[in-house]
Amino acid sequence: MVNIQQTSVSVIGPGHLLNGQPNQDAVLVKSVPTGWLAVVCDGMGSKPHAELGSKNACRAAFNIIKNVKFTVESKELITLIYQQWLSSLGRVKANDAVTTCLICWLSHQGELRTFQLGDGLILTSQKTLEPIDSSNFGNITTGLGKSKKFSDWQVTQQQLGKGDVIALMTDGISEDINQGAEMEFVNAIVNSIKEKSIRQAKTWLKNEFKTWATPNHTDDKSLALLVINK
Amino acid sequence: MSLKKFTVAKARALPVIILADTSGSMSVDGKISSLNEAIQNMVSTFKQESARQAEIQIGLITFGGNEAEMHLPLARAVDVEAMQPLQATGRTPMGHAFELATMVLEDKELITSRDYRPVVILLSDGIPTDSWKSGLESLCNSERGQKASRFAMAIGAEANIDVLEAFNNDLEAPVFKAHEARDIHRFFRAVTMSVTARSQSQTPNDLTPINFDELENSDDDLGLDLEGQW
Repeated sequence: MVNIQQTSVSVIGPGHLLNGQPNQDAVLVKSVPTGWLAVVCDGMGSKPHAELGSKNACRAAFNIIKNVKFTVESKELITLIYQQWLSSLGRVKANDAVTTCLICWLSHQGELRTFQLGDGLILTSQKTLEPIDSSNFGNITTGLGKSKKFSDWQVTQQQLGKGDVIALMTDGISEDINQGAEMEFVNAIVNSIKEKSIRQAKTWLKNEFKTWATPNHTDDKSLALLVINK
Repeated sequence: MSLKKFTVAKARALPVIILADTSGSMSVDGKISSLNEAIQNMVSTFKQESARQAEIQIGLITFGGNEAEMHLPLARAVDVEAMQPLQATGRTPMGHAFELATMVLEDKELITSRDYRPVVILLSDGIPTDSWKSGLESLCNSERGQKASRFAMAIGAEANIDVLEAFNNDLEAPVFKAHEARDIHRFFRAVTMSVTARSQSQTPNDLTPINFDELENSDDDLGLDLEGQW
């Protein structure tokens, strides 16, 4: 059985606060029969049901993954989650609830499967970052409700061990971290919270995200962090 | 321990690049003086608005005489001090202006991947006198040029509408036709309002509706049961 220390935080961005809008990010970390699941979703701000889209995406991933084997084929898994998300929207059009979707699924044997659609960042102690597509511009992204292609998903698999860290974050955080310093940033968080209680860790992280140093930042900020104890 | 040292110290920018015709024909009917005034007003408004959310940058490429030139290198609007008034003279090297604009857009240090989708504005009262087609093609087909929002204004009856229409990629804002010098002010006011509205919005990239990509091969299709949800 894998044992982890985990924390997750989601903080509304100053832009949404200013306009009286809700936090459109959602984050979930839960145990599942096969291990642990972490999901971070960022609802697309221009869409009227972005908040619903991101929350339902977290739930859809959990509802599917808790009932399937760890060996389920990637395309089948994504289709199941996507279909569950569409069903959960009821009468809301998918295009009105577009959301990014970042999923990390850790088995009891320490094997990690990751699935990412749209902006944001997944990183672990073992995985070097893919280069950022510098021909793009900030906040141009894809997500559930926009993409229908399997090839739009980044899918990885890796073996992790004791002490390894898994981090998922929305682009409200990842886009404002100095390029190349992402793992250092995550390790600094891990070191800061290891002596703190869960509540203290969350309070400290929320405060850090609320007092974010990048000028004129507007985005919601969400992070899920898992550290493998054994 | 603070996370501030890992974050980018620069606000995300919204770049605006103006391609202005300064050929000899712009010297008649008060066109060049109207243009000078309109650009000055735009810079003043951008300076006031930049303190809020996205930081507006402005760059000015002129094309008159034998070749285009970078009259105002792309910089934060708040840093633009006095601008040398434009002088109208010589031929219409529009193709060269397209090449300069492409260079600016593709400079990933000048416009980073975390910046917002740039706006490129073209205004002309005549017919290009150089080989404009290759310049326009390289701008419209470049990775970043095709993602930029491109607006065009035709000044007077002599303007080459075909070139301006080929440049314009905003379906909701067709080529603006200025019949007299004061229309130049109207166009600049409209663009200024559009840019400042974007800079204050939660989604500064949103200008045109999202189009779903057509699926290119069936293997990539997730096979979703959409039931009219799109």
